[in-house]
Formats: sequence, structure tokens, C-alpha cells
Amino acid sequence: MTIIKTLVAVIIFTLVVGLGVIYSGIYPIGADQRHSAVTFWLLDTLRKRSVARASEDIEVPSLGSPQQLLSGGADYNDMCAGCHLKPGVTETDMTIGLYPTPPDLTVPPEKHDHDHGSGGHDDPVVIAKQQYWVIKHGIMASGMAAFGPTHSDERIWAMVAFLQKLPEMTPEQYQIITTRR
Amino acid sequence: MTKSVLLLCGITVALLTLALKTYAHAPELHKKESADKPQCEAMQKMDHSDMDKDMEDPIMQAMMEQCKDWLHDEHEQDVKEHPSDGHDKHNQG
Repeated sequence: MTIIKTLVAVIIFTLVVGLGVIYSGIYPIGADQRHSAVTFWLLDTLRKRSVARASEDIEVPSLGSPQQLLSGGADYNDMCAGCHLKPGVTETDMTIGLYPTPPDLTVPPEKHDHDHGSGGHDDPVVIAKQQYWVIKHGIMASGMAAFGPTHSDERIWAMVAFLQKLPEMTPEQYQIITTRR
Repeated sequence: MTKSVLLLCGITVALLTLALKTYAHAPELHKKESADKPQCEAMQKMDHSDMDKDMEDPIMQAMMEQCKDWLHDEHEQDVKEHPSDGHDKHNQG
């Protein structure tokens, strides 16, 4: 009985302190601040697990045709390169100013400073599913917009196809492929 | 008078509905925004030593598709400048 009372007291205390922190406004919310390690772990794990679960049943179509690279490349250059970079560019105002820093998609997935959940780095199919899901649905409160409402599935898969080839591209190849005609 | 007002309202509603259905990110809209042209001249400096690999590489195929007009013009220019080269090469092969 004492254990239950203590447990209830701890839960109530935690809730009161938590609500107190939220309503007091003392938590620094500016993007030029850094989360504490605990907050970062909570949000990062929440994001990874949510994306992994939501994308696991997605069927990946055939990817890599030249037409997909041209369609996806033009869309990437117009909507993504400012945050996720392009060959020959190592930082922009957005990569410096956004927190968390958007992943640099010009480097292979295994070199990103984050993982993709279990098996993510080793399995291109898992990465393709997750990239498709993130482009379509976006990620709350991260700066990543949802492109599903304005872009067809075909265009989103074309962007995924382009992302698979992006780390291999030189700046010259990128310029030619991403120019919209 | 009432009929005219109703007709005007109907047209306005129809136009607004049409406008709302237009995708904000239609490719044509982007096209107007970007005036860049593919810098196909850069293809001349790229390493084409492994032609078989080039032909299977989707990046190279995409660039050739993007630059097909430029490549065609270059070929025409070559033929004009060196009319006998192509035949000689074929005969040697």
C-alpha cells in the first residue's frame, strides 16, 4: 500500500513539475539553443520509431529511370536543396539556422549523423520507404514540410529515386539533371 | 437585375473553386521561376573512358536526355567541320 501511495505521489509531483515548467515559459525554445540530452533523445527516438512504424508497409516501386531522375531532380533543386544541400555546397543559411540541422543528403545514408532505425542504414528498401514517407507527410515541428498535399505519389517516388543517386553526382552532373525544362 | 447578380455570384464561385484546385507546386510554375539552362558543355570534360558503363548509368542517361538537343547540334557541327572523319572511323572499325 505504501508503494502505491509513493508511486502516485511521484506521478503527481512529476506532472505538477512538468506542467509548471511548460506554463512558466522558462524552457528555451529558440532554434539557436540546443536541447538537453534527455529531450533530444526523447524527440529523436519518437521521430525514428514513428517514421519506421508508419513506413514499414509501403510498397517500393521500381526506382532509377532517367525520367525519374529528371523529374525528382528538378523538384529536389526547387524545394529541398536549400536545407539538404547539393554537390559542392557544404552549408546554407538554412543548414546553419535550423535546429535540428537537416541531414546532408549529398552524402550516403551511412555517413549521416543520424540513423534510420533498425536495419535502416543497411537496407536501401527501408531507406526508400522512409524517405517517401517523410517527403509525403513531413515531420512535425522540425521544419520538414509535407509535400503530399501538393505532389502526386509519382513525383514523390521520383524524388526518392533522385535521392538514391544524389551522393554519386558531381556539381556539373547535378546542374544538368536538376535544371527544369 | 437579380438574375445578373446571381450569374455574377455563380461565375465568382466557379472561378474561386477552380483557383483553389490549382496545385501550388505544379511543375509549370517552377519552370517560370527558374531561367537556368543545363550547362551541357560540361559533358565534354567528363570521363567517358568506360562507354559500356556510361550507357547503363541512369545519371549519364538522364544527362543525355536533358542535353539531347545540344548533343544533336554538336554532332551536326562536327559533321560540318570534319565531313570525312565519321566515314574514316567506320571504315577503320
